[in-house]
Amino acid sequence: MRQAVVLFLLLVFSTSIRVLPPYAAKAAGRAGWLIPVFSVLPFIVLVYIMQAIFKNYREASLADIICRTLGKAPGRVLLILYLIWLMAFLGILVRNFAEKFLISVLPNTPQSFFTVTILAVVFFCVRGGIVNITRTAEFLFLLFTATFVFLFLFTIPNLEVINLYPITYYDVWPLIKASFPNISIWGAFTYIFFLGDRINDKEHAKRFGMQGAIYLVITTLMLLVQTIGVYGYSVVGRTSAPYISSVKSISILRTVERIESVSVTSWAIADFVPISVLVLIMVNIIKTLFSLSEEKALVSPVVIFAFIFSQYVAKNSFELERFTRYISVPTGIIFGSVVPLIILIVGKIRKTI
Amino acid sequence: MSMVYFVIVIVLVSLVDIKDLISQNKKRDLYVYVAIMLLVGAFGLFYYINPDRDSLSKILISLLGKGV
Repeated sequence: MRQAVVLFLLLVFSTSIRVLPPYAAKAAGRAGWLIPVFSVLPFIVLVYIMQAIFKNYREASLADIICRTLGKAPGRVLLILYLIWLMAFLGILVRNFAEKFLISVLPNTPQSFFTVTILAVVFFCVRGGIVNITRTAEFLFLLFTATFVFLFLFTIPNLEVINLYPITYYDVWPLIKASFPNISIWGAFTYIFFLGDRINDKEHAKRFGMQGAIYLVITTLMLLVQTIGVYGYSVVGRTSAPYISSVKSISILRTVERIESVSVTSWAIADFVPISVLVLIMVNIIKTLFSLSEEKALVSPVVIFAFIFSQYVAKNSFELERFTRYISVPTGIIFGSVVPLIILIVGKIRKTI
Repeated sequence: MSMVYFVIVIVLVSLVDIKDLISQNKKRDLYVYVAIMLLVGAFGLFYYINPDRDSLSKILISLLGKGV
């Protein structure tokens, strides 16, 4: 369960770095850095929901529970909807991976170069099995966290308190509205349970989920303070990758500067794990849907689909940003938070959970 | 040119996977694999025939009435 939460945290962070700062700055202004405080409550509720769902099914995956709770036909329809959404989510993650290089360090490189590179790595790693991915993720998680904390500490001299204060009670409603993308991203906790048949000690989901919540609140606060605090909400709201811009502002003793490549590298590391995990989740769903025994072969169509979809989803970062805002955020909330609640309620009514 | 590379990759990967599935005598897996690969291949060809067509994002957002 601990390793599953690590996978989830990397999945969340890769998306948060790109999506949250501009959205928070636009929707909540200088109070935007307080978003995680407002989004942690729905996440805690989600942790309790998942704990309740898996209370009596310690060896099952979420796909099995959906089929048992809703019945075979409605369950399969819901699984197909999850599959479509996760395919889109995977395509967006792959595209975001390419975009971050294009807007930061390698602007004149073809986009397909980045997508093919990451998908080739993911293809070979995922065929090796989930154990390899989770063990790699644990190491990369430490590396990523250490890099993130160091970069935050080096940014502190550039923080302007005027960019973060004053905050009044008028900011509460914008903060609630601005929390939706964060709730959508943190809803990825649900997707990890599609690998539930390979997750041991799910009875500790609550404990590890709460630890994950604390980590998320702290790191997301750091991310938002680092971006909004350095450039102010009006600039961050108009910037494509404000995190990289804030790292660009770092200057150590006026000798070490332009270290954004460090953040891009750590961000790329953080991207490898979520893309691999999503491929594994989709393979697991397909396996359940068609009652298959072999999953290694399914990796290739999923990876090839991700490559095509990452190009077809949007022509530029502007379209990608709008897709995220109007489609990904509401769909993520529905599949990440609302559907598990419905499954729990139906399960309690039908006495299957 | 990209379409040619795409077709080559699809054919090569499919051959390796199909050979593997046949050697394990997993007929059900084989049928599902071929069906999914054909769908993915069709999607890829649909994209590469005209890569400049409106993106999915543009289509969906205009359906929502938000405009791009």
